[in-house]
Formats: sequence, structure tokens, C-alpha cells
Amino acid sequence: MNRFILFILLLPKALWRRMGADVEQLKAILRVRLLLDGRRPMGMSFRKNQSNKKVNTAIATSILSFLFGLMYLLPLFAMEQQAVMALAFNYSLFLVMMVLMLTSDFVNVLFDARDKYILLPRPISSQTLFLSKMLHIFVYLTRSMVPMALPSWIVVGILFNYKMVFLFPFVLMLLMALALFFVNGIYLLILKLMPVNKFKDALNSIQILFSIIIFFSMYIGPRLIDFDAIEQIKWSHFAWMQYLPTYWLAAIYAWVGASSPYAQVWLYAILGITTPLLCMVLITKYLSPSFMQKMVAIDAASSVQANETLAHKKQKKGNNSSWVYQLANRLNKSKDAQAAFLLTWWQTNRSRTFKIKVLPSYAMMPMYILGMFFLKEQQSISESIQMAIKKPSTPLLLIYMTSYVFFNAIT
Amino acid sequence: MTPLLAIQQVSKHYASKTVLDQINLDIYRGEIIGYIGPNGAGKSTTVKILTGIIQDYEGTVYYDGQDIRAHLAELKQKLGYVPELAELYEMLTPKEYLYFIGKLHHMEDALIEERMLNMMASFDMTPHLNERMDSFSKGMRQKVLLVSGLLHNPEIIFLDEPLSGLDANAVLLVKELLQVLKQQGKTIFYCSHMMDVVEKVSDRIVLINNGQLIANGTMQELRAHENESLETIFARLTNASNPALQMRSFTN
Repeated sequence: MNRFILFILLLPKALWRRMGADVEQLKAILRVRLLLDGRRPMGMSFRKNQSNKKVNTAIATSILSFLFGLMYLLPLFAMEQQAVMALAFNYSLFLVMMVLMLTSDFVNVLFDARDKYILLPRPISSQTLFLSKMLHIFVYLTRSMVPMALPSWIVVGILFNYKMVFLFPFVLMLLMALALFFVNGIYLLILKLMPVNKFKDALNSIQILFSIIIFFSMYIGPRLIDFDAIEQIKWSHFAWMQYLPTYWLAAIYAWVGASSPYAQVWLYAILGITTPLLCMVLITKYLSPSFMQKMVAIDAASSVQANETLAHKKQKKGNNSSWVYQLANRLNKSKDAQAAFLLTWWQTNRSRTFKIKVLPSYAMMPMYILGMFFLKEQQSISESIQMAIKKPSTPLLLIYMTSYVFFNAIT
Repeated sequence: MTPLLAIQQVSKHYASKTVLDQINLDIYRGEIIGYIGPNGAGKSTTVKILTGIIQDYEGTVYYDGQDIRAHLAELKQKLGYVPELAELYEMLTPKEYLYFIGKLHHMEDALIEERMLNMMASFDMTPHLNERMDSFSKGMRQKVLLVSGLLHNPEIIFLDEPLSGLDANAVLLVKELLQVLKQQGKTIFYCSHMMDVVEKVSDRIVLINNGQLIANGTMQELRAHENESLETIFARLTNASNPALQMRSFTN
């Protein structure tokens, strides 16, 4: 598979050479990037598979993306009569997921801190490096987005109009441009609002949020959906959608006969094409250079700034943190227990890995219980609680859910 | 004689912190420079500037009389670098990684294969050629790093703590390797905290403290009296407090 992707990527060799890239180096870098993508430990939703090295991460991610894509079919079926509105909903779901995925994965996948020591001391031109990054981003996006879009791509042709199938890849590319723009924007916003050394913490919070959304949409969401109610939805309830870029993108389909509730749909379609293109210009001309500079600066400055911040915090806090020691002493009698308490306190407070592993499960547990017991039944919350407590399976389920958090914490 | 590398008035700042403060240093062809200094003195930053990893610095560095800012690619073609941290793509096998590095230096497949096999065999690493590096010990990774830094037969070699994590036998091998490289006329910039090794292998020792070069000379030139070891010279020049006194308060 990698060989095929490499072959395709290197087909316009002459163009890459004309752009100033060294094709032999470009091939070597891309080959390694694709190998690493396939062997990278899996992300949030696949964490349990980490030990199995034979799982190809790239393929597994594509399968997961495809499954997500199946869920995005819902608005297409529910709003069959209003193709543009249905597609606008479909694209909105798609865009949110794309932005979340890219925001949490971009730095890990595309800005490998080791590149600084491995690639920068080698005789590689900036054009070759830049092009390798761009082509890698393209492969990464294609690998996750095409499988995600595949179900919608097929269903659009069956439900609405076969001509829309041919337009779909074009609109998908515009959607990717929008997603890239938002991701760049989010990154720059984080970098603007937070000190450089907090950047990775902010991304971790997004990763946690992302894993909760994945959990919700895969386990809880389908249980909560009331399909009868969805069928009653009218496009007029969502008139505000016409002001969103995803609606403008969907409006492009009006040109090949998709039905739309608005007469000025052609205007929205023009906006749908021009907005992502404008976003791309903004990315390449203004956002990307400062973004790349900041990414390089993150690694260089983080250690120095982290030390300065830590020293500053210590100065500011003074002896205030001694209450943790007092707490440890009061709650525990033996020295061993006190030491274990302090270790756990600091570890859970400061370890990014711990937060990423455990915090989502804390959020998932109440959501799961909520979905299982309360929201499905047409009762008040107090009635539901009483009903749930009476069920013999409830204590078992609570034990299971508690141990789920516990096992996530200790593994 | 024209220096191979000439560092002139080079400074580097991170926010309010000055890491390098107007350093000047000439490095001549075929020399082994021992670059030493306390933790955080600016050693690794100097190496990162000389290898092109850091490019936003003040001052000028000349390689063979040419400003490296304008001729960075030429310098990079001729330099080998072994970083302080074992930075590798550890999901690859040594064979895949070294092949990749060779390709970046435009080496022929047969030459990569030949040199890789020879070098890895010298470090007793042949049985591990096809194993993923994520299971390797620090010493094994360091050996792969050393091979990757020397695979393309560089003219000038930057070694940042190259002995880190290596066992005693491997340390002996690297010391021997440094002598062989010197005999081949290579220029070596060697950063380390291991004073005995620096003392033995270096032609000239450069001491950096708080971003400033505070000593530059042969062991003979740096000694205040006969038989003074590099460790003592280091402590004297960096104004380290009496270690015996320090450790007494430590144990109390």
C-alpha cells in the first residue's frame, strides 16, 4: 500500500524538481513517514491495541473513519427531500470531527520533535522539507477523510442525484481546506492565549474532549437517537444554517440539480467555492509561516520557558504548597502511605499521560449511566434513579464502571 | 592557517535568557576539540548552531571561509552529528533508519549496505539490525546514533555526549574510533562531561561557562601546575565550591 501511495505521490517528479525539491530525498522522507504512520501507537480510541505491534495504525484509523462516516449518513436519510440542507448537516458533522481529529493529531503526527535532530543537520533543502510536510499532510488527510466520506459519497448518488457523485471529491477538498484553516486558527489562538509550554497541555485537553465525543457518538449517541422525531424535522427549523460555510459548500450541489429551500442558492454556492480558497490563501500567506515558526520555537523555548515558569510559580507559591504535605500526614499514619499519597497526588496532577488515560473515563462513566438508565426511559430523573437502583444488574454495572476507571488508571 | 570553522561574536538568547554571549572560536582541520562546561553552560546550543539546527543567532560562523548561513547545505553535506539525546525514529529498525540516513546523503544503496554492515558489526549490533529500536537499551540506541552520524564519511564530526549509556567495552571502542578518525584527518568537536576521556582524546580544550568561553588551549596551557587534572582545572575555572565541603553538608 505504501509503495502505491509513494508511486502516486512521486508521479509529478518533474513538478517537484521544478519547485526546488530533491526527489530522492523527498522519496526517502515520505517512505519513512508512511512507515512511521503505520507503526505509530494508536490514538485515543485505539489505545488498548498498543501492545499489538502487528496492527497497522494507518489501516485501523481508516476503518474507524469509515465507521464514523456511516453515522454521518443520518441527516442524509432524515432530510432526503432537502438535499442541500441534508448535505449541510452532513458536512457540519464532518467538519467538526475533522477539526477535532486534526487538532489533536497534528502536532504528534506532523510535527515530530525528533525531526529537528534527525532532519535538520542533513543536507536537505527547505523546499524538500516543506514539500515532504505538505505531501504527508495530504496523505494523512486523505487516509482519514476519504474513508469517512465514502459512505456519504455513495449514498449521495443513490438518494439524490448520480451527478452529485462526481462533484463530491471537489467539495470534499474544499471542506478539507476549511478544516485546515480552522485547525491553524485554533493552534494560533492557543499559542496566543497560552504560554508556549502550556501548548501541549491545551492539546491534551482537546484530545480528552475528542475521546469523549468518540465514546459518546459510538456507544451512547445511537441509543439516544429518536428516529421518529428526526423524520419530523423541517428545514425551516434550521434557517440559521444558511449562514454557515458548510451550507455554502452544500449549495454547490444545486448546480447539478440538488433541491434547496433558498432561491439565492447560487450565491451561497459561489461563497462555498470562494471561502475555502480564501482560507487557503490566508493559511499559506499569513497563518502557516507564523504557525511553522511557532512550532519550531515550541521545542526550543519550552525547556527554558518551562524552567522559568516553574521557578516563578515556586516563588509565587512560597510555602503554600506545604498543605499537601500536611494533608498527606493527616490522612496517613505510616511514612510509606504518606509517600505513596504524595506520589499519587503529584503524578495525577502533573502527568499528561495519566490525564489522557483517566480523565475521559471519568467523563464517560456518568454519560454511560445517563444513557443506560435515564434518558431512554420516559420518566423523571428521581423515578429513573429509583428504578435503576431496584434493578439487580445496577450494582454489577457500577462495579464494572468503577473498575473501568481504575484499570485505565493503573495500566 | 585558515580555520575550518570560525565562530565570530556568536550570541543566542531565549526570551530574557542569554545562552551564548559573543563567543569566538577557531577550529582547525584535523583537530579534536574537547568542548566542556557545566550543565546549562551553552555547549549543546553551540553545537546546534554549528550543525544548522538553530539558525536565528547573532554573529557569524564561517566554514572554510564562507558564511554558513549562505552555504548551510554544503556544510551539512560534510558534517556528521551525534546528538546528546538518543533521537531516532525508534519505530524503525536500524537497517531502515540507516538506509534512510544514507539516502538523505545521496549514498548508493550498495555503499550504504556495506558501510552499515561494517559499522554495526564493529559495535556487535549485527543481530539487532532488523529489530525495531523501541525495544533497544540506551546504549544500543547510542550505537545506532554513532553509526548514523558517521555513515556518510563526514569531514567534520560533532559529538554531543557520545558515550552516554555505553558500556565500558563500547566506551573503549569509541575512544579508539576517535583516534582512527583523527588519523584519517577528520575534525572532531567533542562535547562531554567525562573529563578523563576529554583529557585523553582532545588536542585542545575549550571551556564554556554561563555562555562565555573562559578557557581555550591545550592541557599543558590550561594547567596551573604540573599534573593538574582536567577535573581540577574545570573546578578551578568554573569557581566550583569545595566538593568535600559541599558533600559534608549534603550528608548532614
